[in-house]
Amino acid sequence: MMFGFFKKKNKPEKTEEKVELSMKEKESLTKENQQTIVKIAEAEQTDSAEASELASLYENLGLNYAKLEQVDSAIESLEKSLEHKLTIGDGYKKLMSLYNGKRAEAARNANDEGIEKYMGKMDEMRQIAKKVTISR
Amino acid sequence: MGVVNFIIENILTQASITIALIAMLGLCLQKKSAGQVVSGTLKTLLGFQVLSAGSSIIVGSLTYFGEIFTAGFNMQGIIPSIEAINGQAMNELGLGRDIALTFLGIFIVNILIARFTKWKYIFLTGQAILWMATMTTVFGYFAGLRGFMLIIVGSIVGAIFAVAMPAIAQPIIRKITGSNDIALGHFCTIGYMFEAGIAYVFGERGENKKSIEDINLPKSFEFLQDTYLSVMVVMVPLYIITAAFAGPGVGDHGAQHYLMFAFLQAIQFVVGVYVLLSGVRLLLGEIVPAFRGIAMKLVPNAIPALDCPVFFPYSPNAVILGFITTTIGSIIAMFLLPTFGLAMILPGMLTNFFAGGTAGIFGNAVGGRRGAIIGGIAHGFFITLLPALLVTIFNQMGFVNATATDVDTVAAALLYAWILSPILKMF
Repeated sequence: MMFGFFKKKNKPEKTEEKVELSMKEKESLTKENQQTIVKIAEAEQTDSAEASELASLYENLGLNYAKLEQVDSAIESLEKSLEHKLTIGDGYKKLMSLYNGKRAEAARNANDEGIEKYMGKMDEMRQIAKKVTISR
Repeated sequence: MGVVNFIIENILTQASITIALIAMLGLCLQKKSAGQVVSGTLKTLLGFQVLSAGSSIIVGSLTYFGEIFTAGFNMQGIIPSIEAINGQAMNELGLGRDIALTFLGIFIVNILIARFTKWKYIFLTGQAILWMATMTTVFGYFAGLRGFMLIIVGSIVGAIFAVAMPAIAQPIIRKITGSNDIALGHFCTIGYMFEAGIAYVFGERGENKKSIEDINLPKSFEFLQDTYLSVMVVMVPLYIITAAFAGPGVGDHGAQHYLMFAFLQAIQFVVGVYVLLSGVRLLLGEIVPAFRGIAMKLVPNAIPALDCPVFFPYSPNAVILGFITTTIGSIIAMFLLPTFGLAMILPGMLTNFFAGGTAGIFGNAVGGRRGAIIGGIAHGFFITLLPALLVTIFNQMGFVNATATDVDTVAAALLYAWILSPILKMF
């Protein structure tokens, strides 16, 4: 170690633990998602729907999909959330990590287009972070 | 033989051609269509020429600023701008070809290190690699290296930084993001670790750690979103005040009122930065995607090292606090350094925002609120002191009134100037 103060004091290397969901939890998340989808549909019907409200509904939906490991649906919902309103909360962070996962997958499969696509998306995320940090 | 000589002497010595050929290589390796290869190569060529044009505009304005500053304050006032250093090195000093090849070399050696060692970092911030290539080339040249050796040594030193900087920041990045997926690829990392160290010593720890209260930047700071506006907001008052101290008759203002002339010269500086950065964008727009695609394929388990705004969402308040404290530190250093016989380094708002903001995240993560405040001011001082140490060498080499900013590139330069150069001179 270069600097003493980073020495890990007998702490085991933190491994990223995958939380295995029980069937029950999965069911309740799926149920919650169905309700959210209904709410989104209702909100989109009324013209007066607040963009920030829709954004947060989509964000919750996306985060739940991510917990259920339905990656593509999660990405779709989280992208929609950002379309409605740019934020840098949990949804943003999750989307970034999902993109990076997709990028890694594309790299393992030697898929040039995939790498380019997701690196490009990560570039866009960087722009969003810069913009939102300054004008909150 | 005549044809070969003609090609070597007249075509390959042209920096713009060299860099266009590098882009062509990248695009061909990516098996792009002929049309994409041709358009990508030409865009890169155009990018280099645009960059050159921007550089001459900046040099014109900086020359004037140097004159009025010396007349007004009786000392040298240096503008920290890595763009200006890059532009002058590429063009006025004629190191463009060597910088371009070193840029490519850093990328290749970075891939080799990531492929064959346990450090899997691939540095993906293209601009930062260009700045690093600039500094290793300039200071390698200063140390007496030429041609092949200049490029090889620069590539190795640059690539070691490209892997080592994300690696030393990673323990804190892991703490901030809670994962090991991405790394920080920004050549201001030594400054971030410096702030983290100060924050560790002076900050709060464990239970006592106070979080940063919600700070919002006043609306009037939104100009920071626009790079050029933020440069303008600093440069215009700087030029006008300096000109007022210098008085009329300094600089080539002719029949125009000298303050008006100063105002327009400040704008001219911004125009130069605008043109130069558009050139950089064109220049890297084709090369970076091509080479990062190649890198990702060759090192499938790579950890991408990304530019600093990616980490802003993890601690946006710390970013704002970091920007403010770093600016305070850099202003203190501006007035203090001349009393030690160093040149006066004017604060660079862009560096203060990006480097300062990211440093704030580090300070906060290690030492809480108090750590971020004390660490931030120290960071501002530190990132002004390091570039000040380079001024004498830059002057000797004929650079006009500018110094580098990103501290890792400055550290690489000092490595050449203080260690490599004396060793080379022994033989």
